Amino acid sequence: MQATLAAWQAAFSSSPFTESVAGVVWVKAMLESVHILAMGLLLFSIGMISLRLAGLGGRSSSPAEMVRRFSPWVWSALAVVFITGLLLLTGAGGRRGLTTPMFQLKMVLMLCAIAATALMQLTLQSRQDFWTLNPLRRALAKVLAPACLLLWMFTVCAGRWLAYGYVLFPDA
Amino acid sequence: MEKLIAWLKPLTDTPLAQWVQADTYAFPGLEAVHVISVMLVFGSIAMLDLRLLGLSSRGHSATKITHEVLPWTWAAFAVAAVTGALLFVAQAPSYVANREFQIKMGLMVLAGINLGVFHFMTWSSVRHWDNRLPTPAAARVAATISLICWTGVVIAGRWIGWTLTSH
Repeated sequence: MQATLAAWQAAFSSSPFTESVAGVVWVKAMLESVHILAMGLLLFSIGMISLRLAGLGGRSSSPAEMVRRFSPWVWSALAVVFITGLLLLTGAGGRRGLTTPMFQLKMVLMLCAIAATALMQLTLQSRQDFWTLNPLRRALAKVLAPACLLLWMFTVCAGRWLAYGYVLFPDA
Repeated sequence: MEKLIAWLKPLTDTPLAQWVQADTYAFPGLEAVHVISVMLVFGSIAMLDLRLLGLSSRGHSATKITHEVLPWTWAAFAVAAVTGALLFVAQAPSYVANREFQIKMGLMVLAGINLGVFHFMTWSSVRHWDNRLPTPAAARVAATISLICWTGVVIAGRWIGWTLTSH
């Protein structure tokens, strides 16, 4: 697994973009900024859906309505995050790249966050009252929704901490 | 500027600043919370700006969007301000001397003035255009200025990390 990731990182690191992303400050800073701005739209949209489903806010629309309004933002912002993320990886090298434990943690958190988001969206699209049909589902919604928002926040946290790998992985 | 730097220098010797500088988790932790809260400030305010520009939430009234969005904006802004202040005290002289930090603060002042003008002048007539598109030109101008300012705040903020030098 680690060898495969190292091979991928090597491929990223020999791309035509590598030199500019790793060496030109404004290129790196602009890519990071777009990455962050798109994450802002994503995080807020997830917040609107999650808090409504958890019963903590946004009474102006039903949870299903919130999904209808905000999930297009989530996935289009994620596309921008993905593209800028790939470009940033070309300049990441060994210190922040695919092979570092912090990056791997970030990816695991992100995949869990995406799964939780898709679960909320697909269930509410199939049945508006999916999470209110019985007490068990009501209780599960109160766990799933905040967990989804927290998973996205932890993903951002791990992203910022790519620069501080030692914080969680002092031996790596 | 030299005077300001000298005046801020003692701030970095306070116990709070020492803690932010020395603790393994303090700076990275504060930074992570700062980034998350700034993201939410931008994400929420951008949704309102896009509604005012008629680019999203077209089927929802302007007042409904503000009621949904502004609690997020203010709560996130409060967290960003507190974490930002803590990050600032740790290296105050370095930040004030940093061009990107100056730009970031300038853009936030501009965003505040823009918000004040919009709130006290344009917003007072909202009942006439709450459900109407396009919104008045003054609202669209305010939304454009707001989007530019907050986008700039994020860009300048990220840039500080690449340009900060010790003072």
